[in-house]
Amino acid sequence: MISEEALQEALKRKKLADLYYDNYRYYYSRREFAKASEFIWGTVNALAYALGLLHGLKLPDHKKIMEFLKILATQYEEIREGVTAVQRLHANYYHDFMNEELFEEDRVKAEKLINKLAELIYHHIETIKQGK
Amino acid sequence: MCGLTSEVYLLVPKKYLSDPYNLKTLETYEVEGEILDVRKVYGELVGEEVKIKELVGKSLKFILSTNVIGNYDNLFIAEDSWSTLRDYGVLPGDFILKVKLTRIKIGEKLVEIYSKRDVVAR
Repeated sequence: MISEEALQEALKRKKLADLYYDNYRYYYSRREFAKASEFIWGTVNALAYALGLLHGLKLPDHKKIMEFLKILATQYEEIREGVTAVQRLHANYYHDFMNEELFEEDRVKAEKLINKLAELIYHHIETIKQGK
Repeated sequence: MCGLTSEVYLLVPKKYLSDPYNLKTLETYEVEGEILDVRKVYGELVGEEVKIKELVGKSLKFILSTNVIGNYDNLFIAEDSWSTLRDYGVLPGDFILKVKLTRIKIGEKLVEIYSKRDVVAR
């Protein structure tokens, strides 16, 4: 059971993730890979934060987010394969070192991770709604 | 995914279709529509390309895939409709396709989309 406040905050973070994800697609369509990387990381961060809240956890910083993702990685293949990719994409935002081939390889893995996190949130929220 | 789809899709804002029609997330729906216009991304249609205008008014079938992340859903062009576009050389990235979505199959019901007036997504 989670508090109404935590649920509302989780929903707010999910909306933020939706916005970041749209921005990622926009910059990806323009082949601006560093900006796209920034928004991929933003999406992952917001989704992990929201999912953490739904599990009764607060994930206030990068370290906590990564720890949480690594725990999820032990349960879900999509997350296991995507964790390193999203860390590299996060670094790419700061250092812009990826060519299209490298970016594409990590982007595909990141997409799978993002979809898995969003699915987990969706099912979690559906369960809460049904319980009300 | 229901039906055969091509790899080609359009992005449809959720606020114009899946939200108002209460579509479930992570599902697929058959959608019908028609072509309103085909333009090149850059420049005008020239020479043989003008034949592309023959596509205006033709019916298309799509498969809508409702996404769990972002504010857009993917509207895949169904395989048999894709062959119509492909035969005219309307390839992704080179052309802008303007379509009107007319009907969607929700459960067993075929529902008219915005039956009272045209709603234009931007």
